[in-house]
Amino acid sequence: MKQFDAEILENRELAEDYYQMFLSWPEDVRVPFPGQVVSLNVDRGITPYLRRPFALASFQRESRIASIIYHVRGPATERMALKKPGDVIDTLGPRGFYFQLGLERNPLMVGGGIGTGPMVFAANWLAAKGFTPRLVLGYRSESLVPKLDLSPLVRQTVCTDDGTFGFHGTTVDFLNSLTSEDRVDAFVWACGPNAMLKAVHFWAQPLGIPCKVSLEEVMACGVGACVGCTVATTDERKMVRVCTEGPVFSSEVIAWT
Amino acid sequence: MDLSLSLRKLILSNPVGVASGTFGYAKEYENLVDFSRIGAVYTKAITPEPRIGNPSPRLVETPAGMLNSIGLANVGVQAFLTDKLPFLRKIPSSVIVNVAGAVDSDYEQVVEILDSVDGVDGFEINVSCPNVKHGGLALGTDPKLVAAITRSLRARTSKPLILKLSPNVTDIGSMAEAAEAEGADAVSCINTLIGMVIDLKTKKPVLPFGTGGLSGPAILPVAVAAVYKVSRRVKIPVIGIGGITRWQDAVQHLLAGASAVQVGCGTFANPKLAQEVYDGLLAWAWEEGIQSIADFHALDS
Repeated sequence: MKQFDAEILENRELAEDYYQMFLSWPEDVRVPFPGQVVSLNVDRGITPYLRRPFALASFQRESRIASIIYHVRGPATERMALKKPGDVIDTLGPRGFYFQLGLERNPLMVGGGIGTGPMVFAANWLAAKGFTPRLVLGYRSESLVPKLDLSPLVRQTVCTDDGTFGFHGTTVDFLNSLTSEDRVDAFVWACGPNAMLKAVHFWAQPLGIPCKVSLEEVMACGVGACVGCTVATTDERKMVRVCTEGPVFSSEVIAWT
Repeated sequence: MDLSLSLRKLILSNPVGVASGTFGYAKEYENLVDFSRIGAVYTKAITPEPRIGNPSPRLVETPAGMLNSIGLANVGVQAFLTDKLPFLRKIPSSVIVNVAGAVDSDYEQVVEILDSVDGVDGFEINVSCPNVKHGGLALGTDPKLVAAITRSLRARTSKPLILKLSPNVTDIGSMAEAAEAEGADAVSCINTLIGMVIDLKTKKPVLPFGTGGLSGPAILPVAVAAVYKVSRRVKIPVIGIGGITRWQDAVQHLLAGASAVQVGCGTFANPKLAQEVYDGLLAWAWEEGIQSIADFHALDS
């Protein structure tokens, strides 16, 4: 992990209030993997004050360009949306445990809203390894559905709550529609709102499908010092820091409330 | 120029430290900071037993700052000795262990265990945490209790003893006087202010216990005023904490009467803040012809 000034190469609007920001990635900063995060200090200002963590959405090794997908929903992301190519941004990363492959060979990537970025990274990364991942993305409505750069090997399904685009229903409704054949040798990686992650966990668990989730919590330091981004685990004597023990966890470790 | 502060055998040659609770056990910031430019690390508060801390969410951002409700989550004194101290011994910064507890005997136990330990350069006694039900703040709001805990700990250690004071009192000077009278070597101020944020969707406080501790640039003038008041009530050194986001803020603390400062949650926004504050402070002191910390105090009179 390093602190560096990343140059913004492009800040592309993908959908209503969804942007993808492409950042230069210096040679001396480690290659990031799907699930890992960067934290950005947007303007080094007084308000917003804290850094903001974002899971990476892509990384191109040759050009050393990384990206994040973010949703404009507060003072930090509002400022980010105004950034232009050539601007620099105080970046800290890459940080955290990434998604790691087990023995299963049938990837089911599930992303909702702000969880789109890391699942796109994961799906493209798996495709580059020869998998044909299924990428299930959920949004409230068509206007929020982003236009994404996906490998031809990625089988994308977009779900909308109101049925204005793609599958009518939530990502978990879609998972429920999968046949037992679709689920053979499956594993799930997921990122999105906690309610979605909880539903994905409770879908996967009885089917015996290994499920890893990437959590989002408010962070202050992002390096493990403040112990602020903790979540409860099934072991009630133990809380885990999303920034340090995570952000990717096996879903059965988390105390879903 | 010599901006050092002596507390018993300890000489803090660099007056800029990093505040307890904002810097973990220092290893978290390995490779991100230059420890040779950080005067002192005030550790995460240590209690006799490990503490899991408060339920989440523990943080919420506020205008020009943040609220926290961590609840003194820490590894406990034994794990501190075996797992955390070895790294702290290796860094050039002085190491001041922040001590917390629910009852007096908790503080006594931690100080007794660490009194003879190499690598622990002093103690900062947290009588001002707003996020625990017992000990903490309750202890720090009554001068008699501050006097009693200082007396008890003074008898148990010859290492520098710093009492960390709360701003959530009517007369912070009386707490400092109580600590001084019983042999404290310094006081540090301020700990966080009590604050609350309410979520309009749930119509309830965001933090699980309602309130949390406010820190950040929002509290700078409160902290500077506290340092100013306290430094006029006691002869022992005052260590200024609160709202430091730029070197100019640290200069304000020193001009108000502080003899050293701690950078707190500003480190979260910029890990290198403490060392940048130190650099800026040195440059300013040089330009102003300041030779010592006492010169800062003389500028005001």
